[in-house]
Order: sequence, then C-alpha cells, then structure tokens
Amino acid sequence: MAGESIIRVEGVWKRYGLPLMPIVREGWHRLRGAFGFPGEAPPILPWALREVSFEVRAGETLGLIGRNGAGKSTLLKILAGVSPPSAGQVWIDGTLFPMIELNAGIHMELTGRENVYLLGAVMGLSREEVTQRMGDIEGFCELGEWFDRPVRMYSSGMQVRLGFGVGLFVNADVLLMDEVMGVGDVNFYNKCLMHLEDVRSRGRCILFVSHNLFRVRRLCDRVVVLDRGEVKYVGRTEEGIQVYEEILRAAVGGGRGAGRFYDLVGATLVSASLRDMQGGVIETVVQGEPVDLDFTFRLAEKIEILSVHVMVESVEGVLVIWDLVDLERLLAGDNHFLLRWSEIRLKPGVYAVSFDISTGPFRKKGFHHHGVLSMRVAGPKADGGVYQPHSDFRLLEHRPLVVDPAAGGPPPAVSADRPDGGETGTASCAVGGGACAAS
Amino acid sequence: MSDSSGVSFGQTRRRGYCQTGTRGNGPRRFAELARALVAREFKGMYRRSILGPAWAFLQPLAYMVVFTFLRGVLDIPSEGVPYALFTFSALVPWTFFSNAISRCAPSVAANGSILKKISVPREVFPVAAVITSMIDLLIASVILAGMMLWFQTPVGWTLLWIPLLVLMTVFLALGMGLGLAAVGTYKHDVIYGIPFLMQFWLLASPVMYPASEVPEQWRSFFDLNPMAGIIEGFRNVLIRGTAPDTEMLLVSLTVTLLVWGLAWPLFRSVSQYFADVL
Repeated sequence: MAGESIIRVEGVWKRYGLPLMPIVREGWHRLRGAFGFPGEAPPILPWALREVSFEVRAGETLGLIGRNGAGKSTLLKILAGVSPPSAGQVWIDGTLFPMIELNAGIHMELTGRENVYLLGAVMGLSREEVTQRMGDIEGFCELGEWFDRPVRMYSSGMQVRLGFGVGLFVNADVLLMDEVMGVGDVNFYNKCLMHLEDVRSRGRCILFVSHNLFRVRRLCDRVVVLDRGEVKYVGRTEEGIQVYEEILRAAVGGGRGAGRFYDLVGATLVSASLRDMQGGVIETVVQGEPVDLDFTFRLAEKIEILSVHVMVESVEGVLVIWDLVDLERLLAGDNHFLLRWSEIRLKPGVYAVSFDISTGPFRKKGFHHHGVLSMRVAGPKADGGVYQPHSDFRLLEHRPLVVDPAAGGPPPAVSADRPDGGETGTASCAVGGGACAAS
Repeated sequence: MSDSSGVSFGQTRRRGYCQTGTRGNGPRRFAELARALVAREFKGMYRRSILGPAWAFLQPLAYMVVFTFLRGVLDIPSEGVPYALFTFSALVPWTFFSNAISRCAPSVAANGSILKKISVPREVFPVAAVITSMIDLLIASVILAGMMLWFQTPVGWTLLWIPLLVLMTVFLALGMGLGLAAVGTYKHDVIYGIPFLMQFWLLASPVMYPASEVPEQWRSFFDLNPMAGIIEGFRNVLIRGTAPDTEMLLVSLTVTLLVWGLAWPLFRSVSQYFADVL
C-alpha cells in the first residue's frame, strides 16, 4: 500500500486573477493619489489556497473534504494543470485524468455516438482507441437506441452516463473525481463503484472530492480536510471526518439557533440543555453513560392533543434517535420537560439535537427548531456505523486444515469441517461477508 | 518512473507544475482534438438547419447581390470582367477571413467547460475555429469555380498562387483570432465589437471596388491593410490571370508577422489563466 508518491503538493498558494493586475491597479491608485484624486484602495482577492501540502501514494484513494468554498475545486484545478498555482509546487508522477464534469464540450445536436468521439478526443483518447472501445462504451452507457439520437433529447442522467462511460476507458495513473456519480440510478451507481474498485486495485491513485461523508468513508484511505483554503487535517479518514464535522458545527454558530425554524403554535423554546445525573450541564456524553435532556417550552396559549418530538441527527443528516411523548394538552406558560436516555451508545462524534411539536390528531406541523443543541459523544474510536452496542468480539479457536494422506487429494473442503465447528464458521463467514459488502 | 520523479522532487523552483505523464499534450493530441472539435462544429452547426452547408456560400452571394445593386448607384469599374464575378472572387476569401476571426475570438470562452476541466493545449480552439471556416471556404470555392466556368474566365498557371494566398489568409486570421481571443476571454467588449470591426474592414478592403480606384493620396495608408494585398492577389490570379502584386503581398506579410509578434506571446501568457476567469 505505502508505495511511492504519485502526487506531491508542496506549499501551494493560489489567488485568482492575473498576477500583474494587482500591480497595475495599485499603480493606478498611487497615480491618482499623487494627482490629488485618492480613490478607494483597489480590492485584492483573498487567497483561495494557503500553504497546501500533502502527498498521495500509489494505490491510495485520498478524500478531499471541506465546506463550500473551502478550496476543493481550486485545488483540483491546480492538480489537473488547468490553473497555475500562485506559489508552490505540484508534482504528478505519470498521467492524470480529471473525472470532473465528464460531459464537458458535449454538443447537444450531435448523437451520443458522435459525442463519444468528441469526449474521447477531449479526454485524450485517439480516434482509433475510441473506435476500438465503442462497443464497451455503448454497453456501459446502457442507452440502447438512444445512443444514436441527439444528446439534447437525453435526460441529465443519460448525459452523465455517456461521459462516465468514456471516462472509465481512459487509462491514467491519477484520477481526480468530483461527485461524478451524483446522477444515475442505483444499478448504474453500483456499476460505477465496481469499476472504481477495479481502478483502485490496479495500483493507481484516486483523489476523491465529495460532500457525501458516507461515500468518503467507503472509498477513501485517507482524507485531506480543507477549510478557508487551508489544510486542517491530513490523515486517517475517520479522524478527518471528525475534524470536518467540527468545522461544520462551528460554522453553524456553536449549534444554537442557526438551524431551520418555524413556529405556528406560539411556542418558544426557553431553555434546553444536556445534564449529567447530578444535574450539571454538560456538552459531552461519555458513550454508554446516561444523559438527561432538560428543556422548557413557553406557550402563549393552550394546545390540545399534541406530541413533542426530540430528534438527534448525525452530521451526515442521519436521524439516529427519534423520541416522542404524546400529550392530551399543554397549558399556556412554561412547561418543563425531561428526557432521559439511560445509555447513549452512539459512535463518537458530534450530533445535532432538534425539537418539534405537532398538533391535532393528524400531527399537523406546529413548531420545529433544528439543531438547537449539539451533543458530543466521547468514546473509543470507530471507523463506521452509527450504533455501538456492548460487544465482545474475539477469535474463539484455531484449527489447522486436516490433510488426508490416504486420499492424496486436496484438503477437504471447508464445508465438511463446518457442522462440528458450526459457530466459529458461520461467525467468520458473516464477518467476512460484511467486510466484503462494506469495502 | 520513480527515477524521473526523484529528480524533479529535488528541484527547488518557487512555483511550478510538473507532470511526468505525456498523454496531456503533444502534436498528436492537438491534431486529434482539433479534428474532433472541427467535426463537432461542422456537424453541430448545420444539423438543425434546412439549407445546411449552403450557408457557406449564401453569405458571400448575398453580399454580391447587394454590391451589384450598389454598383449601379456608385458606378464602380470592374475592369471589363462581369461585376458579379469581380466582387464574388474577393468575397469568397473575405468571407473566410471574416468568419474565421468571428469564430476564433469567442472560441475560448465557448469551450470554457473543457478548459476548466482538463489540461489541453489552449491554441486548439482558435485553430479549430479557423479550420471549420476553411470547410466553408471550400464549399464557397466550388460555387466560385462554377461561376468562373459560366463566365468562361480564362485561367492559367497563376492559379498555383492560391495555396500561398490561402495560407497567408489563414495566418493573418489566426494571428488576429489569437489576439482577440486572448483579450476577448477577459473583456467581452472585444467579442461584441467584432461584427462592427469586420463590416468596417470589409469596406476598407478592395472587395467592392478595385484597389486601383483608391485615390492616390490615401493609397499608402490603404495599402497598410493586410487584406488589401491578399484580396487583390486573389483577384489577380483568379480573374486577371496575372501574378499577385509582390509589394502589396510583402506588406501583408509584414503586418501578419507583426500581428503574430503581438498576439502570440499575449495569448501564451494569458492563456494559462483562462480557466480562472471562465
């Protein structure tokens, strides 16, 4: 795995705009000043990237995560050689192919087949190479008769398939990917993933940009976390994702008051806090410990037949806890609630707590406040999953394979061994199967 | 592979981009890409039109009709040649020149999606634009040849000048196109101004009238127009059966070289930042 560096980025800085323009503007500004017409100082664009350094090694998939405007696209552009860095160096050993906007340059009036030739040329395939692979590409795109119809009649998913179909047949040592698989149905998506696994196993390296943390987890060995043009973290995926989650949390103003909000019943959330069993306010819950959620709703008037909901979401937006209490009525004034979770068994990370009131027998929308609190769960590191039950996971026993000298043939099949060692066999099989599906 | 990378890793340049893979550029890739772009432009342009490639000669034909009418008003001499042929023989190269420039200037902006995504030689877009216009030139030339047959124009060995004249037009158009694309990608005023510029230039070139009709006191100024020498050259070899005026051609050549001397370095230097502004 730890092969030689394929990509090496050293101290890259980037600022948009022509390099001479600030000097020209500054000169003009001074000239005006000298003649007694001082104007406003010329605006200088901020740095899009600051001192970015990292390496990608052979066979590795590196994830690039960060908020919108963190500099991910800029970095990809620099790596693709499309945009020059303002300072710093980029080395790429071998050929590079950006799998970004794969249908760039497509002409709407041309047919799929004609566009494949164009896309091939753009991506660096020769006409003969495209002709040779046309059958494969046609098969991969699954467009059928639409392949010979103008692309303007295609749905957006079909256009994406066309581009992706050509892109997969480009041989390159480095692939840059930016959420290309956003469109397409599940079958096609799985097909793409299969091909990516294939690409990865051929010892090339991939740089993967995504907002989908689930996909990053699934595909990436390591991640680079970017924020405001600076590298915040380089290293293991799971830790990187935690760093990213914290950046996200910090960005929504410490988690309080910045979320989605509506109120149709005259309710106000006066206070909300997490408390330990002694009643002290806490922010971090230790995995496996109990925690109280203490909150008060102030009502302007009485509500009949309602339910109060508490929701806990992970950073990816997965709803992990949904608790509710049904009430006959809630009177005007302050209503103090307590929700006790006797055991928090969530994967360590930061979670958002939201509150919701729905009214009437049909649970009409009443009140909603998203991300009121953030709940940090502390505990042993986990690479995936959401829920971590108490577990005891170990190897029970080991048995060498029995070679039958009389038969002289290959050792007996594992299945023959299974009935007596049943539990170990099925357990390891299930784990193996799970790992297969998860990788 | 590792050796070459080891060497380059050791270098200490202040800024740089280095990719050891060579698939990215090179003349072969340039040719493949230019060919695909030309195919896209040519097929895409006429696919939804009824007249299709006929548009290649309809434009000079329309100008010919207008000029023939104007001639009745302005009394322009045509040196004993049917005026329609006289002006059409100039309109065909002119239309090529004008279309090539009009296509070149916005070509970079139009292909922004490619430029922003993948590292390609930037010159390929203006070059493809000029080649696309050459297809139109070819179609229009067939009509011109038909017209020459119809009027039974005597032709001779002077026709051998045509490749050189076409080449000079190509280089002038490409030079102008590179310069206009370089600036036009940043400031679109340049692109918006082109139709006007080409109209003006058409009237300042000996398309509607022979160069000999230009008043003497303006002649030296008039000759600075690089298209004057080229168009007169076309007319000389096509309908007058004489060699082009070498002095005028040399002026054209000099101006072309000047244009390239300015436009090419300009294009090279700003082209690396195209992806930043598109």
